[in-house]
Amino acid sequence: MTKILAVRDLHLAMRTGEKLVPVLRGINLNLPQGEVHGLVGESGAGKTMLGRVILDILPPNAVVTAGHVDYATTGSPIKSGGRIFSNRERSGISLIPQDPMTSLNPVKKIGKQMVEILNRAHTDPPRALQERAEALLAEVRIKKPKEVLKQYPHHLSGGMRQRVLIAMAFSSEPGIIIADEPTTALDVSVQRRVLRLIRDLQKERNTTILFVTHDLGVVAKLCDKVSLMHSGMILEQGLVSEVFHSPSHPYTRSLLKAIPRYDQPHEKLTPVAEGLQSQLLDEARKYDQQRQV
Amino acid sequence: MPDGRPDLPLTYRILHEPRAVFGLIVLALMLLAAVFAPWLSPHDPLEQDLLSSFLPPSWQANGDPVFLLGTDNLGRDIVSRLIYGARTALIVALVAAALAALLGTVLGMLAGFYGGKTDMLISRAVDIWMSFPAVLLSIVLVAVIGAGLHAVIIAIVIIDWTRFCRVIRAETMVQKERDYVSSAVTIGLPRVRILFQEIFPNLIPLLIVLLTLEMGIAIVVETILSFVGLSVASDTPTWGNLIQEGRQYIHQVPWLLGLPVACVVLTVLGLNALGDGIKEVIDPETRQ
Amino acid sequence: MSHWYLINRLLLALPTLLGAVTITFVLLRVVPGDPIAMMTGPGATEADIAQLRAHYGLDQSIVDQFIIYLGQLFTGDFGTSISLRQDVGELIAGRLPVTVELVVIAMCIAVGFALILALKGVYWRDRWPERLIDSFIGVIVAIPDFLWALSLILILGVAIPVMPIFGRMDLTISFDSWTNFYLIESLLRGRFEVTRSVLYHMVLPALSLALPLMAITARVLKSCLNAEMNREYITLARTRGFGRLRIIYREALRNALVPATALSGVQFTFLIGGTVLVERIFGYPGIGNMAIDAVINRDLPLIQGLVLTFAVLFILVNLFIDICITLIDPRLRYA
Repeated sequence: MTKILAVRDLHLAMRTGEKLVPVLRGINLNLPQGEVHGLVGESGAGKTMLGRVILDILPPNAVVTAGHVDYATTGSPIKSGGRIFSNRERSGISLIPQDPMTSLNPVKKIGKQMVEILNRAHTDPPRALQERAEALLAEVRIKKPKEVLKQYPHHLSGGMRQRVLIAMAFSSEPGIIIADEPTTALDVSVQRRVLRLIRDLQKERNTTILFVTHDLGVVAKLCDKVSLMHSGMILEQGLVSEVFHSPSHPYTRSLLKAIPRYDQPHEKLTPVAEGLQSQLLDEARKYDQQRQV
Repeated sequence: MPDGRPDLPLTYRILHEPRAVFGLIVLALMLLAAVFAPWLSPHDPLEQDLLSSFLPPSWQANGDPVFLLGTDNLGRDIVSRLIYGARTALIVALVAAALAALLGTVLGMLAGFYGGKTDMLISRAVDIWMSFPAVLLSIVLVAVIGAGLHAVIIAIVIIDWTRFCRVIRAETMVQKERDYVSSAVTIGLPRVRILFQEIFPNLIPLLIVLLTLEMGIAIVVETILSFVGLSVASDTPTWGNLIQEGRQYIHQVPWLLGLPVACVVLTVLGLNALGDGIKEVIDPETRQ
Repeated sequence: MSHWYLINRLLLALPTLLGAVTITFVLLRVVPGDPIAMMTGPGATEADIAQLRAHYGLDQSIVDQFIIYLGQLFTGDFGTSISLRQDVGELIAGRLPVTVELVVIAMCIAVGFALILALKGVYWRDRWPERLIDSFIGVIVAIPDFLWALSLILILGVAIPVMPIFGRMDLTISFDSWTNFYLIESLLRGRFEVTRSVLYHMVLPALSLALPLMAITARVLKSCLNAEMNREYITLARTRGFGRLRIIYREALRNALVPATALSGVQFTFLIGGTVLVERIFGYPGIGNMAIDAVINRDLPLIQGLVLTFAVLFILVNLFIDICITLIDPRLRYA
């Protein structure tokens, strides 16, 4: 399999005043073509920031202090981590956002927003772009695509908006999609359908997906491989089946115990122990000290 | 402030905010001029000297060192008139702003705290008030009350209480939802006491900012009314009267207009800077 | 947007108008000065004064006067000016175009420059040009239109005498206007020397009115834009490789205009109020200038007509702003 994305020993810090606060501490990640990779961690673990580095949309006060991201559009050799993407590379990577309610521009019709995106990758006449947008909406199983194109975001439900955003993410035929907790903001009943949709589209196109989530259940259903993050470090990485059956890190074991299981409805859930949390934070601090020496 | 930083005293922080310091300096200068006007002025501001009328500032070719900034059409000393003008301006600013604040704050607090019909009545009154052009209303009012300093002050109060009322009403509504009010209600304090003893202290920082800004506005209104010829008698030294005189001789003696305009602009800038500075210090949330 | 919305809005404005009329009416009846005495001068006999008083309806009780006045208003009769002895409606109709042209141009200047300042400020966020723009706005906003008018006269009229500081146009040009909308009329009739002169005379008064409005609008719009730039759809636009300039102009701007217009709407009515003084200072023959004369002469019918005119202008501007917001924001369009 061709490697499509490689993150090498990436260190990221946020500048607050004079100080640099580390956010990512030596991340290594390899994504071959067609893999769905789950990135799991609690809030503050740095998973969203990792997605943002890959997307090259870091906030202005974030600094990459070491390491780099190597990235290859499908078919071309891996490019070394000079930042600032060209437009062509941009179309090779896209984002499915967390909150569909705030992720569409409220004052533009769906059709206009989609055509604007399609217009970047294609030079087709407007008419053809309109048809392409319609076809994309049909592909994400929106029933009356023609009408939806003429509507404003506030006319659509959360689930519908997320489908539109998924259609947008796939519209540039990207090599990689970062899905940043794409179902967290949706109703439970809608969640499953949206997940299935992402999985199906991914299979058809053999797209690589980095699936950021805090839901181990979703990872089990959707992903091939998984990385567990805590305080900016990857604690455990491997095939989903292996990690779930024989977790090697105590944090992973503790997380797995915190999932409700259908086959054992009376089992008591145990939250991640505070002692373990502070131990992990200590390790991160020690890591920072060693790097400074 | 409910969540103010306790680490540094408020005065210290205000003295380290450049804009507030600039404003305080301007205010201090005004205060100095107003209080010590008779001692600071080199001449009697009403003393006419027709032989030396329209003298330019002393450093210019025809200037007379006796009249530092020159003289007006009747040969009166401009420095002295400006100093006495500061006195009028400061009196108007302090009295009018305080009274407008009193009226607006009380009504705003009542509207915000009691809501319902009280609120509707007061808010509606504010709406109607604001549909008048403020300047025209003040001119009409002074025409009604009759010229004079007291008329100017009453006019400012009648017009500008709405500024306080709107802001204080909104802030009272915010404060009303805070926990300390709920707990005061729970222990059974009477409502009026909650409003004036619990909520009011939390409105003071906002009130200070509004007061500072209102002082600037009051000074401008006084100038405007003097300019239109409706404030105090026209020979009384006020900045507005000086501007009115200066406007007539603008092509011959531009400094006659320029100097009082500069005074008003400086004062207004200073008071604004002071208000902004204090706001910045007491309310970290307004920072972007 | 439906017609019903408009009609509803106009109906809602009626109580405000009535309130404004009532307050002015009551205020003016307690004026100590006697307008009739001022009008006739010392030589008039008691009988003459009584006759004039009856003529202007001033001999009846305040309540009766008010009812008569309201009845006249409904038939479009504003009464007769005491000092100018002309129909108030005609007087105002003759002067209103002057003020309307001035106000419209001033608002365009204000909005235009506010847009430029806010957009540039957001584009250069956290760098020195933004700080420069912020301090510029901070100084401009602190100084009211009255002081701007005087300062501009001193700077551009006297120190560097490049701009005319008095009147509506050169007195050497004769222009017999039918509508008093000099700008539009002179353009349509091809009298471009009139257009030029009118515009030239308008620069300083329009600028005095526009500067404070510009500063406050720029400040509000800038903070709305900055808030908008932190939204999720902007992040998404960035991942799609749209440039910063395009994102500000084509994604954020229209969204930021909604709260910005709502917040700075009141300021537009302040600009109209500002014409009273600015017209006075520049000797500009609009209704603002007329209002001061009317007050000084205690011309009750004229003052009343003018206050009503101002109130109507305020309401129309507010309505216009509301319509603008509904046009900008599709979420409000069908509500």
